[in-house]
Amino acid sequence: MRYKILFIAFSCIFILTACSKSVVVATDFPRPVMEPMPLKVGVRYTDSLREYVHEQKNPLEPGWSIDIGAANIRLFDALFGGMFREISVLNESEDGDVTLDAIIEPVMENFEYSLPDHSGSDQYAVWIRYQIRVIAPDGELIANLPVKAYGQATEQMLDSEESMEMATIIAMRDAAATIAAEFSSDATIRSGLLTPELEEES
Amino acid sequence: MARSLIHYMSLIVSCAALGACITTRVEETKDAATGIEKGESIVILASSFHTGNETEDDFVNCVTKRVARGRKGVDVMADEDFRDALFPWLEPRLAPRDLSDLPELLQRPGINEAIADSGVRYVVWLKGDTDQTSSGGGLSCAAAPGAAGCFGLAWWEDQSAYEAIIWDLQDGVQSGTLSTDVSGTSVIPAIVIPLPLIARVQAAACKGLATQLRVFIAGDGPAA
Repeated sequence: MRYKILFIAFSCIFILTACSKSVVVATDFPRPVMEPMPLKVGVRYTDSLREYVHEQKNPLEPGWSIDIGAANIRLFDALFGGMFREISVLNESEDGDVTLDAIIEPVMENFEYSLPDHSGSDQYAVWIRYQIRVIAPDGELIANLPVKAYGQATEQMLDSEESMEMATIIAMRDAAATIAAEFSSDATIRSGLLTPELEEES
Repeated sequence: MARSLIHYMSLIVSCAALGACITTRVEETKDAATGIEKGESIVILASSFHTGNETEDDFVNCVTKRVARGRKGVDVMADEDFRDALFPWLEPRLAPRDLSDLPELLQRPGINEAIADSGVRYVVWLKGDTDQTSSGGGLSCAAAPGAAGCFGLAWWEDQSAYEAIIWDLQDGVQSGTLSTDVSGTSVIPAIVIPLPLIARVQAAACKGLATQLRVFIAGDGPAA
């Protein structure tokens, strides 16, 4: 009788763990290779960005928990560190000092994924949406840059979590690529941030 | 009875062995002289999935390992290290799609220095994939206490078609292209025990392309 109870208990534990998958994106991100804009900016990270975890449970499917909070910070530290001459990191409630040319606030809007079973292919796919808010030192909103990113990774035999992590990393790098390519060429951002002297310098 | 069984098994294995054959074709087009000095290396990248390309990571890794292997191997930089060194300009969204995009990449601030630091002389872009083109037959398996077995004949045909486009970063030109086309039929005959005879089509494509690529990169002489 005791062995029967133990067997049932272990079976339940096995089934429950098999029914949920967890990913924590642990990779570092490289700095972009580019001429930095001649600006000193504050980068403000909200708690919702720092602590972002996407959790989803569909019927008859394993649930997924994808933690990209810490990875968001590493991504934007590297990206903005290469995009601007100088950055200082601000917490959610900080406004920064008067010497800042602008405050950049990345906002996480949405995270979606698709499994091979959903698409009938062998690909894990991830879509991420950010908003990059560009704020003047006096608090006025200069620009809002929407960023849509996509990543995909081939299904690895027996390791779905590794495939999902890879697709997420590719999507985050895609977001960095979009921001690096579009930020400095956006007319509203340039006119809002760059004085004629700085425009010449850049 | 035992003799008949052995006779039938031999017949099926013979037919299957003939069926699990592979045909390989490798073609080369050379547009400019090549050659690689000590200290220089190449990098092998899959073309962006934004263009619809679906080259498998396994295939890229296979070609990379084979090109670097042995005494006549060529130094190959890991693709992820090269993408990091030129980040974000080789990400799928921004990667150059053809030779006409290369000057824009090379003119970006810091890119020439990053390429010089990496030591990479040639970029090899891989396109293509391996697909199953047809299949047929069937296998039935059953198990009972004390006995189990399968009966039948299943087969499928795979085709691997890949292209390698080689860019010379030093001269800013396309050195040439290599293409490989491999097809093969895999068979699983079964009388009690299934006997898989798998045509390793992708592996054959990798071997053919990597061998030709090594010769192409190291080769010397006038353009074709």
